[in-house]
Amino acid sequence: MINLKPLLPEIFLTLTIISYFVYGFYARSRCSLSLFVFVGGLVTLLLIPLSQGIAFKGFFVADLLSQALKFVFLITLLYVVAFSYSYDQIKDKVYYEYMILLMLSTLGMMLVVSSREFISLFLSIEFMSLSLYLLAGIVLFDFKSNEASLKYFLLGSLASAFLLFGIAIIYGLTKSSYFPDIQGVLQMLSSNEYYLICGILALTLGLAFKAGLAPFHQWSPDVYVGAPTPVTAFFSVAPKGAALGAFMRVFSEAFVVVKDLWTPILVVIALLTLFVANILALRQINLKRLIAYSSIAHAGYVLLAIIAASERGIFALVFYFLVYVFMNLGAFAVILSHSEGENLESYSGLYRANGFLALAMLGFLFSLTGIPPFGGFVAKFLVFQSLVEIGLVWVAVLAIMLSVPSIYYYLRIGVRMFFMDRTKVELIVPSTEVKLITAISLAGVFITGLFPSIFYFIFQ
Amino acid sequence: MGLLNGYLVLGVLLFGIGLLGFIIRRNLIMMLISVEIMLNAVNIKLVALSHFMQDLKGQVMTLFVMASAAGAVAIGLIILLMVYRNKGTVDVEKYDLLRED
Repeated sequence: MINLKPLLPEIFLTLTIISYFVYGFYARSRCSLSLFVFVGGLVTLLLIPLSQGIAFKGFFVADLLSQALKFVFLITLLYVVAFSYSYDQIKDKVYYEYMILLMLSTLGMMLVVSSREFISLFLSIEFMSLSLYLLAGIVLFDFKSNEASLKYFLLGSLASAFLLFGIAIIYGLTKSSYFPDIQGVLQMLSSNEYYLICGILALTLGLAFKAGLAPFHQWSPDVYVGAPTPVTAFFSVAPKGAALGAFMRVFSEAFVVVKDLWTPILVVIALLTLFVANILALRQINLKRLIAYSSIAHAGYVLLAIIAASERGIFALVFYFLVYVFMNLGAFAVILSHSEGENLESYSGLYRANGFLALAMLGFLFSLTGIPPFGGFVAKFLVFQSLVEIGLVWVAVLAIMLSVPSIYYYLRIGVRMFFMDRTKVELIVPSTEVKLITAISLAGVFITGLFPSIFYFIFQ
Repeated sequence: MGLLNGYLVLGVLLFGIGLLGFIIRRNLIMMLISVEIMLNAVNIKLVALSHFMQDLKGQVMTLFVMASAAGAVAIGLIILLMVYRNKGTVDVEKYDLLRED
């Protein structure tokens, strides 16, 4: 008898998707489609705590890492469904397909973070990516959206090829694709280090691309700008979480015994990511591009937790994403609340146009910068703590120094909102769901900042 | 062992050819085919390793990779058709709306 309990959320989401295929033919109104997906996502989310354990002889695992990340993906899905409902660039004609793609990619990500074996890992990464390529191009007659989709597809499939190349080398060396077995074989492996480094490098390249880490980050600002804003919000959290979760699982379960080999590679990538993202973000005037660089930088911080590859590192990673989903998507709610939200200019005098939005945005920006008492501070603290614990103090110090420029580019928006004025300030009245989302995100950012220990209760 | 090395070298060479094609070709369809060459290069390696190590996992993996590559081509052609209808060209240099300003 197969133990299907760990797969409960996945099974439920699959059933939701299948019934949605049928349901969507009868109910084609935006409201009913969104509501169906929202309820399906919400029930899936509530099933996650019930799903602890391993299935399929350990090939599929639902532990803290995967459960918490699935939680993050489903929250992102719910957010994006709420964002898309009144976003008029995604036409009614493609709305049905759009919702299917959102759910399919979420399902793919849930499988990515749960797989503990290279074949299923590769397949679920492909599953996730193929849906994401189409999502980027969902606005059919927009050149920018088309181009984003094209770029994402071409570079993404190249990265998949590298990922597969790495997997093939590891398979050739260890005769296995199951992470604990690989760990066992690598323990005894004394020679052939050269091939092992090649394999790890190719694998890192593929995964780093999917997570948008430097030097493979060039696609992400372009794709973020080209894709419609709700899809950008989706891209900035969920696929990153999936790729970094897979990173964590591969390196902390399969390669943990050869830590000395890969630590320098990941340290270089992390520091380079922080440097490139924080410097390039300084001169952005398009807010979506700015958020793209900021999300690259955040992926860099999470990579620092992966370098630790310890229990504490895993905890830091999932906590980071739990905070990140609220602060980043909260910022996206503010961006979506007014028509010119992408443009940095439009934030001048936002405080007079709508005080609540301005204050909320300030909270999200503080949290993204990592200023207490917001959640972003605790998240960064946990990451650096996990680094110090394994003795890489200099990396932590360098990373903190590299994060200094981020204060400038985040708070520049804050200064604009409160201290700069436009000649003509129009009152902004956001829709009810945007207000609600902003308030929920703000509460999330505060609660994770003030009572981080609540997190223990949820997952234990 | 010599035969296995031959297959592996073939795989790596094909992978390199695919990568080179992806980098120097500016035609979208050729780029798509280059990626397919890269995937199939890895497939050759996987099958050879699987055969010489007397282990079936590699061949199973190859089957899955072939299926997922077919899916990727289908998606790729959809995207290609969409951009071609809107822009009327398959030259990748002409797609330059999104860039660092």
